[in-house]
Amino acid sequence: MNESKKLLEINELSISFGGLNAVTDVNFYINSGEIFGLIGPNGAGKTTLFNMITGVYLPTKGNVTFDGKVVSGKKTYQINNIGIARTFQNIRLFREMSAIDNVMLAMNKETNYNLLQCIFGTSKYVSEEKKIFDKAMKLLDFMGIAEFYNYKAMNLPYGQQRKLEIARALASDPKLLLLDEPAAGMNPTETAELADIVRKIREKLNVTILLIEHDMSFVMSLCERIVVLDYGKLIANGTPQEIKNNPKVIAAYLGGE
Amino acid sequence: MDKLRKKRLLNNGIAIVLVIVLYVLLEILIRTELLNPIGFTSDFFKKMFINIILAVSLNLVTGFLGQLSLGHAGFMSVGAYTAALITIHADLPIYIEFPLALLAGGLMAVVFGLIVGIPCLRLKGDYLAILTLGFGEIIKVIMTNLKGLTNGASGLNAIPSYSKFGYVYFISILTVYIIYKFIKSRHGRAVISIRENEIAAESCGVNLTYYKLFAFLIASFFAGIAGGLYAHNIGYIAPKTFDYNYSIEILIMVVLGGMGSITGSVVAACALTIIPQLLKYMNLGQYQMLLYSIILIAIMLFRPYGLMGKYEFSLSKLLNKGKRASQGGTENE
Amino acid sequence: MDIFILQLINGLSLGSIYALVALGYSMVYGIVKLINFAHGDIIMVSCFTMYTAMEIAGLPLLVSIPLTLILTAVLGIIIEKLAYDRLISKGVERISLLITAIGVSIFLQSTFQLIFKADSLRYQAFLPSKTISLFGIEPSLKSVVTIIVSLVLMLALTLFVKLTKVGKAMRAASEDASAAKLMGINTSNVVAFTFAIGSLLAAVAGILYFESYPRIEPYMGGMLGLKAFVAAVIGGIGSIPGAMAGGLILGVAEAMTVSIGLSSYSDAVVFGILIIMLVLKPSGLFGKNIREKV
Repeated sequence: MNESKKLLEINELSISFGGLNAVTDVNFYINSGEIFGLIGPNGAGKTTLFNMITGVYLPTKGNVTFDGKVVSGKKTYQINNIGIARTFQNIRLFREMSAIDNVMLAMNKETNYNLLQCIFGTSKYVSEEKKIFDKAMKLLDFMGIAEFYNYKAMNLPYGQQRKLEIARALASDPKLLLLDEPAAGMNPTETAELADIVRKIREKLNVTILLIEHDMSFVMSLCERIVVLDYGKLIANGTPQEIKNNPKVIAAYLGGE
Repeated sequence: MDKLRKKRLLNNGIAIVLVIVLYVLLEILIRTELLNPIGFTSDFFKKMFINIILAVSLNLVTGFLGQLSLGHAGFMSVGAYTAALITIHADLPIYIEFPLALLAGGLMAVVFGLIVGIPCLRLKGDYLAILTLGFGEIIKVIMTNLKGLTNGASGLNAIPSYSKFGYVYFISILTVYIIYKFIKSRHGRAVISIRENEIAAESCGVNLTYYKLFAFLIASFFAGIAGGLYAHNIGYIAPKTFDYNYSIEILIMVVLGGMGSITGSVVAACALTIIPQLLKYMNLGQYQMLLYSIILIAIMLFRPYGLMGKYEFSLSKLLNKGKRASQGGTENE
Repeated sequence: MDIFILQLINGLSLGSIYALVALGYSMVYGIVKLINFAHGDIIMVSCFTMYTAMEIAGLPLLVSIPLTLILTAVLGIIIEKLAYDRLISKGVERISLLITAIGVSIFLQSTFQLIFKADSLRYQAFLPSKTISLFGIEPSLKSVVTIIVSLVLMLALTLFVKLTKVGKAMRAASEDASAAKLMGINTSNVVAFTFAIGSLLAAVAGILYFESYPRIEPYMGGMLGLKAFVAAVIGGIGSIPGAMAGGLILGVAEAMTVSIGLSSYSDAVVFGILIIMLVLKPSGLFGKNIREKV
């Protein structure tokens, strides 16, 4: 927002599954500090795009650059390590682990002790564990779910599970956060609260955000720029106002030609 | 902070005392030969604690990592042969030779773990089950055919009986402690997250292949150690000692106790050492495997989480029970 | 050269037995994603049934064979209904299914061990041990019969799966079991039927196997089944032509290992091939790359 530096660039990105082109020649970029929306009808290839950005799928053509470096071809965990974190459309928490352990897990790379130190319970081990425990508690508090830190993830109510997943994604100190339908299944109050949280993540934690969402008022009020996918192709790119008035977008959503 | 440290020291102190008390009690039981008539001899108790090592280490792979391994006895075999060959051929004092032999056995098992683990642990799916099962069989073939080294099918005998009950007991306790610590560490969290959801784990920065291999190799190492202890307890090993059925016996301990519960593995290892001994005592030994298979199917059908689920016994929780109750504990299922 | 071709025919004969067994693994895995560890023991059961019918009950060959085939297929269905059906419909974790399968396997082994004791039994092979003359080489009659019977069965299975209604339901369930269910296919019955066909093929494999290796014992199914599963993985699990190709490759590789005098290492060779395959092409020769939906 302030510094218009390109953080993420999507170049000619395409993928096909067994002859079916799920995403075709998509180009756009996200500036550092933006809240960026990715919308489109069901099956338009939005989540597939997320999966290519995070290395779950390998694009058949094109690439993704992050911070000026090509990330396509790297493994998912490596992409997380260089600063891209995500949530999932169908929540994927570590169900049997406690909320705090879910978050602490994502700090593995910055936790600095080896096997021997943990076996002997050295002060290094104790202090490192305490460091990430405190940081994880702060994140849970930031998301407003600190009181549930000791609950198994599977025992949290649905809305809290969504928040926990965001907390977990933030735990790896990402520069870019990908949110896949964060407001799905939420009521209007919860959705409004979520919008505040997303803004707060950008302001307080300095994280750029790319989100997929079906709730139009949520996207339009929150995002500074939006791209629209339809049948795997990018059909519009602009500010919420431009998107709203774009005839192609209206056609795609109404199912016309 | 200081108060916490004091409490931890106190809990550790109590735990150490309990471990020693149990040792003294068992040692008395063994020395007085009180239970010898029903077959609970010193060999029996050693076998029990060796089984604990095996069950707890396999639980790391099958319970915590969520990968099925069917060749745990194969790694045990590697450890047993390596350790036995060292103590038979080396001419060193026991207090150097025996730890060295055990360690070498464990490390050799790790080497074989790498050979088995690398091709299949980078893949998703049930490949580990197949390859470990095959591995158990191949080890048998190799040990039978390397006649110059292993004396073929007739096996190695005259292995010195170094495995005194005390050694087995304390190594077993140490193993349980190390694996428990591992599970509670950042490494343990990574391993469990893979079981819970591979894709999410990887998206959180967990290197799947690295941690799968890590857990698998630790388990192999302890299986190798257990093999070394076994060889120096019985004094005789042959390729068929460590067959598929032994691997399955260990798996049943893990499943019965609860995949993902170290406490469960310990309890089940004890129970499944006692039961066959009692069956043998009652002349029903031939029904052991049939009974095991029924236990296995019944657990999966009616109680898939095993006896203990994912419960862990914790001394500090037990001691703090009163305090906890007032805070409204939230972590139980 | 002639010896080489003879060994090749022996290998193809063994390989076609692996292929028949591999088909059972592959079809079941395709639909319920279960490595049915008890499948190898089905072979053992079929052999003991055959032995009981021929040697103990003294039934004629033409009664014994159909009886064995029917009983084995029924056993396949019973196992599926008693042990797996509940778990599959509950949608439990795969590791629970695998462990159940191992339980069933040990159950069959130990039951037959208790009934027939440990000693291995023999029965009189019904095919004569002679060679026949074929394009100047003289393979044994048994090998040739084994290869022909297997080929015919595999062809029949391919046509069955392609053309019949049940076959189509099987393919649909294999593609996407829950979608097939929504389309009105009774997947539970399809699974049971798949087990029946797999067991039937295993029974044929068992009978053919014992023409060439006439010794039966309760644990014989373990290694045979495992190798057949390896064949299914090499060919690409879930693929019918893959199971055939994988079986033949393993059979030939094993026969060649034996022919150069390393028979005691033949098991190691089988798993060596598996390891190489997993490194080079984990989805197998005919397998599809399956993407998990995220």
